[in-house]
Amino acid sequence: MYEMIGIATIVFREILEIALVLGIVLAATRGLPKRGSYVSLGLGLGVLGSVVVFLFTDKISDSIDGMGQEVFNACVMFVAVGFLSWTVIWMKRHGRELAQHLNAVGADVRAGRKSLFVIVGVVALATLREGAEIVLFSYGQMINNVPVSSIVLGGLIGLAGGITVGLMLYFGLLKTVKRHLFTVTSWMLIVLTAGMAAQGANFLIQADILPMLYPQMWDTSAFLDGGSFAGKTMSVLFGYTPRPSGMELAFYVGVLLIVGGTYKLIGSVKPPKRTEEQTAAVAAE
Amino acid sequence: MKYFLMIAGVSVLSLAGVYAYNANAELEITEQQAAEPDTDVQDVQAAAEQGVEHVVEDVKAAVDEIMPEKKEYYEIILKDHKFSPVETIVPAGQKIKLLIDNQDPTPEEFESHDLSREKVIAGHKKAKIFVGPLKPGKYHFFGEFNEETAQGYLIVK
Repeated sequence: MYEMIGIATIVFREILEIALVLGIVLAATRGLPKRGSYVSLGLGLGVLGSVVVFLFTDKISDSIDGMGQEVFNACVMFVAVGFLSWTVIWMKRHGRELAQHLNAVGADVRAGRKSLFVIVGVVALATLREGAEIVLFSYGQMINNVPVSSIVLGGLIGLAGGITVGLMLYFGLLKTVKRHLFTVTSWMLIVLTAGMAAQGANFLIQADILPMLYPQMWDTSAFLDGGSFAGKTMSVLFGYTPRPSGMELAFYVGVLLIVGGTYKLIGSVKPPKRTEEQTAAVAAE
Repeated sequence: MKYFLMIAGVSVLSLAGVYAYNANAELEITEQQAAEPDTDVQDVQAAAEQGVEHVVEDVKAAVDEIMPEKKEYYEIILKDHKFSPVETIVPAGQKIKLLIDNQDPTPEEFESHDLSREKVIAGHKKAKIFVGPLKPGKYHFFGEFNEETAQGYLIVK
């Protein structure tokens, strides 16, 4: 019983990040056709990938002079940054069409599909890193002779907790920012992406590949500890870290300016005017 | 910073030297002034010598405190889900390499919010982690998979 609660807590903590990212991505891509199946595909690939990463933990860690793990994690972060930026900008360009349900008709179906594959990638990557840690942790518990039933039950409780938080964020967003849902979730994704970029940079600092530029820009650990639930949530949503280095700050601000700037400047594609035939068809329906 | 500390150390040591020299000088005067050596003088002499030794020891300890030895790496062993040493003293203002030696068969995740570091270490594996340059202080780290027992600190001086 006692072990089970411990397992549930750790699994919940690992799943929290996946849940928060998913909650926002789902809210941001509301209205995309077949979104659900693409997100499920991403989740499936992510779980599969977690097991693969777990199996190769030793190989990954031992590569690049013992710094393979940091480089791998940084790469996962940076690819996710790319995918998320793409999603945000694509949604801005095509948001109006989507709103008018025109995407299913005609020209932009192909573009729509491309973007959906990016969403598969985002979900898979978000699941992969933390997922591998859950598998690794469960494996350790098994070596420690913790009964499998405790591991499975603890894992399920943690998973349920994570899903609850994700759903709360998703429905909370739908309810509170109804009219500006798209703009709000887009900006949330941009901030989240900036945080991911800073985290990726931090992995490379840990591996001594990137310099810190400046060791500690400020220290807010007394105000909000990075290990607390609030601190962890803020870290996923806004990239909060109590003692950021100059390099992390540079990555954060850089991505914020580039992706945020592009998002702000880029115009949305005007939906093509319906032909008379289409209008007639719609009217006939 | 390093040179500043060295200079500070050297100045403290030379101050101690001057102090010791003065103590001896005073002692000589006392000896000259005394018509015949009595127990008082011997007491003073013994006290002065003890005093000097005490000061030298204090200074050495103080230098160790402000300038811990700079090593190529600092090894921290993880066994039975416990870190040893629990407290590792490292110098401030320098990049430090930690070598975590996981002697358990189970994997562990070295994690520190204070240092913003996380690294998975498989069972019976060693992993290096770079930290710093750090400001003086006490930095907490733990093993995420066995947080109850796996606790440690980096004492930066």
